[in-house]
Amino acid sequence: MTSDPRADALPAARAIEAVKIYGRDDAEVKALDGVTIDFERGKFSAIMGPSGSGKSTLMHCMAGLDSLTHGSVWIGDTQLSTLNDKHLTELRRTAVGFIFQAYNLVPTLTAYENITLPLLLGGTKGDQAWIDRVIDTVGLRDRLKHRPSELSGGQQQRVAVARALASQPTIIFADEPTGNLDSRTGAEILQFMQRAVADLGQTIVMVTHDPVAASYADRVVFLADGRIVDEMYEPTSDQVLDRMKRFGE
Amino acid sequence: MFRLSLKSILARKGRMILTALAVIAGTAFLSGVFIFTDTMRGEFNTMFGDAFAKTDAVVRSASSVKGEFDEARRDRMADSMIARVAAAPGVDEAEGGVTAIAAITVGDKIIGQDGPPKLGTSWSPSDASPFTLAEGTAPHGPDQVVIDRGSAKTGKLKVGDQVTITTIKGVRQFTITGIATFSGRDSSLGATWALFDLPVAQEFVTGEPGKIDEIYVTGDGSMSDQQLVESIQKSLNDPSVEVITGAQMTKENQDTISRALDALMIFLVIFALISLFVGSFIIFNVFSISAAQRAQENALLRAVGARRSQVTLAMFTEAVIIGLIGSVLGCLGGIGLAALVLKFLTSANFLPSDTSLSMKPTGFVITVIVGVVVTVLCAIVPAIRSGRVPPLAAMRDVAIDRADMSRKRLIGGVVVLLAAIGSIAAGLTGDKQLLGLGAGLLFVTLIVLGPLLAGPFARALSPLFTRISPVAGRLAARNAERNPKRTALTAGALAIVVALVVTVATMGATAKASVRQIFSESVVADYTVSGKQAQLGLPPTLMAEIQSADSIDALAWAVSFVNMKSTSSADKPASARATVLDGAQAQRILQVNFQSGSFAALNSDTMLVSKRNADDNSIKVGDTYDVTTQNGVTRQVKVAGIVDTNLFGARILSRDLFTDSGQLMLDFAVFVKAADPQTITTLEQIVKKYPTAQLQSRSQYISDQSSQIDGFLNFIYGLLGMSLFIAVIGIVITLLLSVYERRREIGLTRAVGMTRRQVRASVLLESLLTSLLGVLLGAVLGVALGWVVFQAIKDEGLSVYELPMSWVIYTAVGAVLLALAAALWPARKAARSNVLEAIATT
Repeated sequence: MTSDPRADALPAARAIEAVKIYGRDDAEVKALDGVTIDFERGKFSAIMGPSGSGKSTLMHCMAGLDSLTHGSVWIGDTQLSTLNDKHLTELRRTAVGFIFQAYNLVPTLTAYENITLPLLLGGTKGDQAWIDRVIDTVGLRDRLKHRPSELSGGQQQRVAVARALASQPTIIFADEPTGNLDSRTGAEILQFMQRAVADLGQTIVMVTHDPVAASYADRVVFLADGRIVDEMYEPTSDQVLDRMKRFGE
Repeated sequence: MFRLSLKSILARKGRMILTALAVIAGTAFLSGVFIFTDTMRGEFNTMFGDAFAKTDAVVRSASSVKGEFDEARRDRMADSMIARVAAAPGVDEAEGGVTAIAAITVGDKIIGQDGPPKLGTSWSPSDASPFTLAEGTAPHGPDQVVIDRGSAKTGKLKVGDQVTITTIKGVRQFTITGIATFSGRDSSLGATWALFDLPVAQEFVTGEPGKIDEIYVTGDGSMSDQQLVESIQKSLNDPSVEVITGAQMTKENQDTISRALDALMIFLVIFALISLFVGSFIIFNVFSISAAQRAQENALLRAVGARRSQVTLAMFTEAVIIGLIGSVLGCLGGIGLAALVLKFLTSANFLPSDTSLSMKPTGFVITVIVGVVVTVLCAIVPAIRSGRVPPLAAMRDVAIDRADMSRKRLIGGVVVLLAAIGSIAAGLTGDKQLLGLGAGLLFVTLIVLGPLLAGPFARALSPLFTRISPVAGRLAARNAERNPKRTALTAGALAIVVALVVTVATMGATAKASVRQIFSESVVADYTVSGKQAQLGLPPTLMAEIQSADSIDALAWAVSFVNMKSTSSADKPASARATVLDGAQAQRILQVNFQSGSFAALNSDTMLVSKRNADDNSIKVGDTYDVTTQNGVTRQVKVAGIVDTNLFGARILSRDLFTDSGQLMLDFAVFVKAADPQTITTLEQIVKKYPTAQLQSRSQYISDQSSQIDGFLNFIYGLLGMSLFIAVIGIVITLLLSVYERRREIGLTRAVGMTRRQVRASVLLESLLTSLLGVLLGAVLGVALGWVVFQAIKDEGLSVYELPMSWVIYTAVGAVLLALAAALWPARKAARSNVLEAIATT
């Protein structure tokens, strides 16, 4: 997608020695304890780990929603800690896409307005051909004028996926995107995400604790106690489940 | 469930404070009014108590007429009465006194504010007198005066200084020989006092040498005050005088002032209730929002087995607690408000500097009861709605508070609107009271139809807002539309204030236009002489001087009171206010239409009545009345003409009727025809001698009359300002709660790239939209109300309807700007919301 070959060579996002500490003194919690990781372009990655492993914190910090205590994170060739709130917001609008578990859409806006929200916010028209392609990919053509309350949970999440894709961001972060959906609808969403990576060349990082969801990814990274403890390529759900079970020991 | 309510309140301190804030603002005004009037009452009571503290009995004439404030204006008694009273058994000391208007001036500056009385009285060496010399000596002879310490301070006067004093007898120079205190204070509640020896006071202050107003008696201690009164009565055996105890005298004065304060209090309470009414919109809104936000929680309660009534009751309990806390805090706020007003009055010397606030428990109790009742009333609908939340709602995400039953609402609204129009139409032709009902129904229409208008209004403006800002504008319009009831109520609070301001402005403009028209049409005068302070009027000597100058046509205009009854009626005579003129003067200066008769017919045995009075009371030319003046003399007067103008009050009496009546009559204005420069010079020279008088051209006088109306209007605007403040607070509260309610979606939009500036803009634009709706509704309602009120009172002397367009625009722009200012804080808060917290899943 990008014309600059040097930028292409860089990973979509990268964290170096990322440390995040919440609280102080006795109440100090190390949510991230020196995480170094690259997320390659055009790949679908999953971050897994038990509750409190720091997976959400890692995602928030890499997406510019939260700041690190030490270390650095990069989106493309931009180091986030150098940006003020205004530029961070701009970066989120242009270079990052989000898919959350719930509260994914603005209830007062139509599906189409929700999809194009990042573009609207930036005051740009966007690439209409691309937007059309995204809309067709997620199959929402006949639902564009509906408000979120008039859509099913799966449809809402498809709108969220489309919105994340609309601005052709460098990277898309998805936080438990199927957490609120039944398994069939969840599978549908995961397939859309897969297709976005395979067909549209997008980069997605997904946080999940569902081994089945993780099995849709090209690569799974396991986090425990704020550190990367393992990773797996082309995983199956059974492999992931086995690995997860070992955390319990 | 009570503990649950309590916990629920404590768990959401922020929301409780916001709800309470609306209650506090509403009740603060009300309790402020009570505290203010109670304090004033206390001050007056103390003053009168002090004034007559050592007076055991008062002797005065039994003959009187009731004046403007229902106060008795009494005939005077002969000096010889003092000796007769002094001779009565039990009397130690009897002092005669006179009191009337006397203005102290230095150069052309009048000492004392316009408002409190400026009095002249006789100096009494007695201990019973409230006046005590602070320095200097008692006044003695025709050029000596003692003034109160308050006047000495404001006028920077000291013993030995020269002052000019103007009374009904004209203008004279005096030397200050002493400075006195009134019961140990500088003065009596802002009044100014000039004290002369008795003969000078009799001659110069009341203009009746040898006559006294009252005799103050101190007993020798041998009997009680009541026994003393009876002893004097027995000894005098004179039905022309009455004797009362000092305590009765105190009580009488206190009662008179109390009635005036009651009237003031009722007037102020009306505005406090308007504020509370505006506040009730906000209170209702807050409860509705909090009920919607708590739908999940309530559903959970229902799901685990709480009965509907328990959920409803919990909400009511919360309302009672918040109402109580809010009202109590409101009372504290009222103390602050009253303290502010009193500080202002103290600094303007209306009140002594040691005035302390006082409040009777009744004021406090009423405020708290009103506050709690209003709060609970506002909670009824939200509480019932809370109870109706189905247990299943616990599983749902966001509660959406759509205006329900919009068809019913539309029908209801249209019915109320038709009823309003119907009763106004009926009121225009028949019973005027229907107009009031119609006006009230217009407000109800606003409340009922508002939510239906909010949606379409937001949609209509949406394209414009979207053009201003593609995202923020669009979100603002959609947000205003999503909870039409909330938007409509917030706008409604503002609409009521705007409507009232526009109505009052319309009344003001109409009154001014009417005054201007009546004067321009009817008064053929080139110049007007009037008092610099309306209450001082003009000494009649001024008119006498003008008349003695050659070839000046002038008319002196006064107002007085008589007791009156129809000769055919068996009723007791009632006090009546009359315009007092000289027929011959009036004929030259006034051009008014007579239905019958003319000014030439006005003499000491006739009366002219206004057409309205004649119509209302079916008075015909030839009817006869018994008219009694202050001195008890009754004469029969015949209605000699009916005058078709609103220039006068109900009736005109001739000056001749009052000759020897003893009624002190200051002219409130003298109208002069003065075409040639010579006359003007003469006139200027005469007026120059009177420091309390001012000479104005016809147009100056007319605009001066209009600006007096402005003064009153500004007072009302000030009172409505409190309601505006509450409406603005309402915007802050509603937006804060909305922002809190939408924190997740704000977080989401922030996450996907909305800048803080855009978030701020969306909140500001929503406020803009809401206030535009309010201002629009308010302006329409205000114009309609103004017109209805005009129709209701156009017979009372207001004849020219005028819509003050500039005021409507100022009010509209002002309200919108205030609404934007009110949105600043919520907007900031929204822009600052923590993205992570907002999108956290749990």
